[in-house]
Amino acid sequence: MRNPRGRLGWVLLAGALGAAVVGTRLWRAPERNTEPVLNGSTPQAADAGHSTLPPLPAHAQPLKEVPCEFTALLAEYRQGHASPAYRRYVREQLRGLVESLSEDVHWQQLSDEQDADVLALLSDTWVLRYALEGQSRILERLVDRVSESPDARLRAVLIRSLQQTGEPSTQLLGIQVLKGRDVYRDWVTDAAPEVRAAAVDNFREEAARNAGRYRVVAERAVSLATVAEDPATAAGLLGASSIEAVRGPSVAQVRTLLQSAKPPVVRAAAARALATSPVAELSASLDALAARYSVESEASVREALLESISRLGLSRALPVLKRLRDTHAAARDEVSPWIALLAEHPQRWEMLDTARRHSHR
Amino acid sequence: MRAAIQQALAQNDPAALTFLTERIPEVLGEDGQAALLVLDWADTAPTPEASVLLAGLREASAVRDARVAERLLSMAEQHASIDHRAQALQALETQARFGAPAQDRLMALARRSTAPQGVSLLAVRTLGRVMKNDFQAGGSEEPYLTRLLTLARESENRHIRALAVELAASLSVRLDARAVEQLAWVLDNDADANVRELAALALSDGRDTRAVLNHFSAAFRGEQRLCVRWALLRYALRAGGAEALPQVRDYARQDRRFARDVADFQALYDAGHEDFDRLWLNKRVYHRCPEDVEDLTP
Repeated sequence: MRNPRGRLGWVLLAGALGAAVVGTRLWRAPERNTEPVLNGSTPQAADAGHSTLPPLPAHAQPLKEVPCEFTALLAEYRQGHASPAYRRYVREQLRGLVESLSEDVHWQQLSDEQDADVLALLSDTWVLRYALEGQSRILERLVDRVSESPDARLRAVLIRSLQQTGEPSTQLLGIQVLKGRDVYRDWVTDAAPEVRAAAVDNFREEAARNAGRYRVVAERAVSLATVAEDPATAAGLLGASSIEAVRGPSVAQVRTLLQSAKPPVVRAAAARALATSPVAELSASLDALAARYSVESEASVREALLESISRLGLSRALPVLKRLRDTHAAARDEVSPWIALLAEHPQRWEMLDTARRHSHR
Repeated sequence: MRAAIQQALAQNDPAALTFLTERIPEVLGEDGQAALLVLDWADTAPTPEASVLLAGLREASAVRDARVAERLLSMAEQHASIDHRAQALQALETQARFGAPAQDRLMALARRSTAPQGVSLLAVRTLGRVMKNDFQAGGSEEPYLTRLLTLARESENRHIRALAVELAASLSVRLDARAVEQLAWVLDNDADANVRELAALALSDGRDTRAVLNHFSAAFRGEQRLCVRWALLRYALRAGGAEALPQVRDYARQDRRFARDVADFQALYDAGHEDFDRLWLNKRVYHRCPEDVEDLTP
């Protein structure tokens, strides 16, 4: 399990590595050019049989002088779009330079940038300043910029950068930083789909760092799902995190969405979220899922309900499913495969899931 | 490309080496012919350079070209340098599947007594990882599993037996009666406590839970080591859930060191837990396992 401290350690390590490297000479990726590998012109005899590194062949010129300077590296990054590997490399060098770059220059470049990929780099390294120094104004400036930018694509890029805060931004903003301002609420209800999707991505990425067991992240995702008007956003928030760490009222909110949300995609997402209900809520969620199945008419939601009943209840799901199977003829075909899978008494969802995936082999 | 790798190695520049390693699959793509050329280079290159080339090749789509896989397998079997052989095996881990001949060759490598232990272990691991790739893409685990369980019973090296059993337990798939019998034999007869513990883990995925629990009961009585007994106890629940609680209560009667554990498990099931993986996250662990193998006899 990764904790935020560990992540910060890696960030610092990567930064130190980058700083050590910059100032030496860099090899530049050939763009859309496979010749260096394909023509094989490098003499092989030079190093055959030697266990130490041979001197470079005289004609080999793999290196290119790159000044140890932020703007120049940024230009490298801008031109290196043909090779994601090269971009990752330049990106690491840049991260190492952040501390030596003045805040004003950095901000100016970020404010002027119009290319989404380059902005992502500038904005990620901007947030890295917060991870290194912990000053709220860094994030406040970025968040204000989100509301000022006219271009939704660029706003989404800025929001995604908040994944670099170290501690989950979804439990940081509004609580420790920007106290009292619920910016994520603004973003999940934003008019632009890119902005909403970026906010949902942050919840998903940050929850995954702790296998969905950040209570605050999961509870906020649930509470925002109740206010998100766009169905895909609400469903994305419900699916962003396991709810096993949340408290009773949040589980009750998910059950309410299962019961009363109009869009089927939200009901299906609520059903799937309930499969991870905390143990204290297991019985209540199992009852809610079964009750919904009896009245649900949408096939995709019925499918999610049966999966969640099986996953949450395992052996306790068998009597529930047998009861549902006998309610009407159509139910029999849907429920029977799950009953067959549960007849083997799997004690873990992973085992049931494997059996399900391979049952139609 | 080679000059760049050599320079990065000479300057001990890990960031540049990472970039060059990641650049190789970008350049190769699906080009099997180019991948063969990289293999030519790796063949004669000194170890550090060959490591970069083969680690890059591992992630390229072209590594799944049949000619490339064949060359890697030969390199794993025959190369004069142990490091080359090890790197070739690791480059094979991203294969989508192995046919029977390739599986047999890896198995022979795992059993070859003249091969260095590291190479044999990597051969087993590669077999297990490709089994997983194949299985997850909808293929059958059966032929791989048969070979792994043969190694689990027949290898003279306890590390190989342990790894083979561990890989057999890695799919979360139900094991059939034959695999259960073979693993039960390992549980009863292996001289190494760690291998027996892993056999208990793999057995808990057996299809016939009753047969598994019977094996566990018999093994618990005959088992001397605390850590293997502790494994049998928790894996009995992993196999049978709350219905196996009477059985583990009986274990605690035979060995009072487990009284607290059984009380904990009882309380967790009473609280409503169903999924063993989730339950386990809430279980306090009192035993220091694995025991230090050096100062205890098997």
